[in-house]
Amino acid sequence: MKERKGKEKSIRPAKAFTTIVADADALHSNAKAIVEPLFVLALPRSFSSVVCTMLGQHPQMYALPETQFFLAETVGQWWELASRSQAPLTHGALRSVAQLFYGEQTEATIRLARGWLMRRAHFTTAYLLEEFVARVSPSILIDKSSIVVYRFENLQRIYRMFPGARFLHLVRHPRGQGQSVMRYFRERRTIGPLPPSHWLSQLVSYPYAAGKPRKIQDLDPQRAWYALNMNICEFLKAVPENQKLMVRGEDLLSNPDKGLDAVAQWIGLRADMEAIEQMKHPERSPYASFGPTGARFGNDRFFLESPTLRPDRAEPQSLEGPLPWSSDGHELFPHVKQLAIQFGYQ
Amino acid sequence: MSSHPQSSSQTAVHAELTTNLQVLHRAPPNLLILLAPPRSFTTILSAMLGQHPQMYGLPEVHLLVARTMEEWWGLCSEATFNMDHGLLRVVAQLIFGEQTEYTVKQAVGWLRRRTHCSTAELLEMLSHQVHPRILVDKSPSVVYRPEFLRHIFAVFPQARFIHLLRHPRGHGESVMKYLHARRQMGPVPTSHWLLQLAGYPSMSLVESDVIKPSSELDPQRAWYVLNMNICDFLRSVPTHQQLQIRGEDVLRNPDQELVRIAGWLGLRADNGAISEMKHPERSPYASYGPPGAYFGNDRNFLRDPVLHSEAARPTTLEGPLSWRHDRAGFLPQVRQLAEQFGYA
Repeated sequence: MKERKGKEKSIRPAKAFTTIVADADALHSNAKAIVEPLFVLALPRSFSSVVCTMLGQHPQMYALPETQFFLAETVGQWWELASRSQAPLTHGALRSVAQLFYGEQTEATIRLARGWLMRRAHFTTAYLLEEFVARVSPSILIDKSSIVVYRFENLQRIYRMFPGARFLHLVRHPRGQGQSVMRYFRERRTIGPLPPSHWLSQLVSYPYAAGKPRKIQDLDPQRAWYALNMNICEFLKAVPENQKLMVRGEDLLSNPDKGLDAVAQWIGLRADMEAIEQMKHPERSPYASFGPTGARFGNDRFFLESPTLRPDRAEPQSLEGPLPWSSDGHELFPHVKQLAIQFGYQ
Repeated sequence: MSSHPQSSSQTAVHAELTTNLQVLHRAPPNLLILLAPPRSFTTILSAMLGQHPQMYGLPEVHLLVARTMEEWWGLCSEATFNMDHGLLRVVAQLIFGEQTEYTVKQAVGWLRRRTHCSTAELLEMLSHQVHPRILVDKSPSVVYRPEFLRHIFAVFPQARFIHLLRHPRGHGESVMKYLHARRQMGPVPTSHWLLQLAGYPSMSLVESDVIKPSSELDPQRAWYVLNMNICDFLRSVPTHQQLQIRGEDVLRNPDQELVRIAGWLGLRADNGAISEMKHPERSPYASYGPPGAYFGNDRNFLRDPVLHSEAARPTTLEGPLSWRHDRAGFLPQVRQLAEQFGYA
């Protein structure tokens, strides 16, 4: 049998949501079978892959790759979206099912995972996620699907379905995020044409006007940075204080001991040296490399190429000065600066 | 033919297969369903039965008035009462271990995630959660529609049914008293279940989904039609799966009647079990719930959930009805059905 990659977590055998109670006295001690998940809300290119994977290496957490489940209400609708999408939307879910329900990620188990997901087409996507929650229990499941934040209704769907969940708003400096987006955009265009409906096109030309793609010199990712972060902020107003936390990605990367300790403590998990040390090795995740044929991605391509923690990625940035992607030397808009300052950036 | 002794490894394999089969094909849901018109001692009896060590009493979950959970959520949003409170309390208690504001919130999510499920599937999930106890469900709203009753039996063909009776005079007085109390709180919409019960417009089944209550309030009509619905339905249920009980008998003489019910169900009928059943106030649903799921049961019961035998004071089929201005008595059909039920 193929050797399983990365950290081997003890996953309980598959089990339905109920446990048969043999003893009436055990009735209520059997409850609390569902550990509420943690949702990481972040824009694409905001360190979300590395940060989520780091958190998932905590002995009491388990991070999925990007499942994109909350783009749709039912699994059938999710399949339909995936069939129309230019991006490999299903890869993260396929890899998760292969790993968690079939024990490994191979071409064969990816095929099995596809069938598993198709058989559940009538499920709500949230119920499907609950199967993952139950599978990794008592570890806390971490889900992050960055393109979910494009639509406010997707965020509301998450909270409607998991009103007891925790939400971590992961932010990145608008200059660093913009530079990263533009770099990714340029590299992606070398592979082939990027359709206007692609999430990356939408991110650089936000707000995208159908049929009127912007010229390359007009691309400015700070508009998406502002609008999508505002989406998250507006959404989080409805979530109680104790269920949400905002974290700057740069802080986690440049000072992981302190940052990871704070996150673990907020969730109420172990924050000892060993747990923190585990989290500093995102490369040990079973989703931290390219997957098998049929599900190669599921996470950011750059992360899959180089999944280690590199504090240098979080180099200090300034809110002042011309933007490197701007042909006319313009700066960050005042409202972008203002929001960034609220997030603690300078 | 001689049988070969099994090796220990074969025994182990057999045990494992048996366990797997048990998981894959769990025992069918063990359900006891109380059928009665509203205001017929269903809350107290359900809570009492639920205190038996081998049973688990639900508050009013109203699951079986809808086919799917999506439909159930729709009905909840239109209901004139807090229809979702009972089920939210159950999910909070059984799935999340306690009833608090937070676990009720979790319960909302748990139920929303199951929007694609049928309501019967949901009930089956709850039944498995309390297995091997018998789950006791009472949702008086199902008795308005024969198709609801037939659907219950179609999806739970092994379920057992108790037809819970109440004297039509005691029932009518209780309905009118409750309606009066409700009116003190403000106008009662015509779609309110109490007005539909008190003003049920005819002595035959109203086929429409919308019941237009008569301005002349006389709850004996609903008493008759709803009990007839139950009687008609139970003709299709094997006799060993049904039992008729007068609520007054249980309240006045709980020891005898509870022994009879436990014996019929094949459960323990010792003093310990019977004594437990005489304490409905010990049910986790016998008091007000947390914010978000405050009710889920009859308000009077929530206020005072102990067993009161005086609630079943003797009454008669003779004489004028207190709620009728013309001081008329029971209609002949009502009297006849009540006599069939053993009332005088």
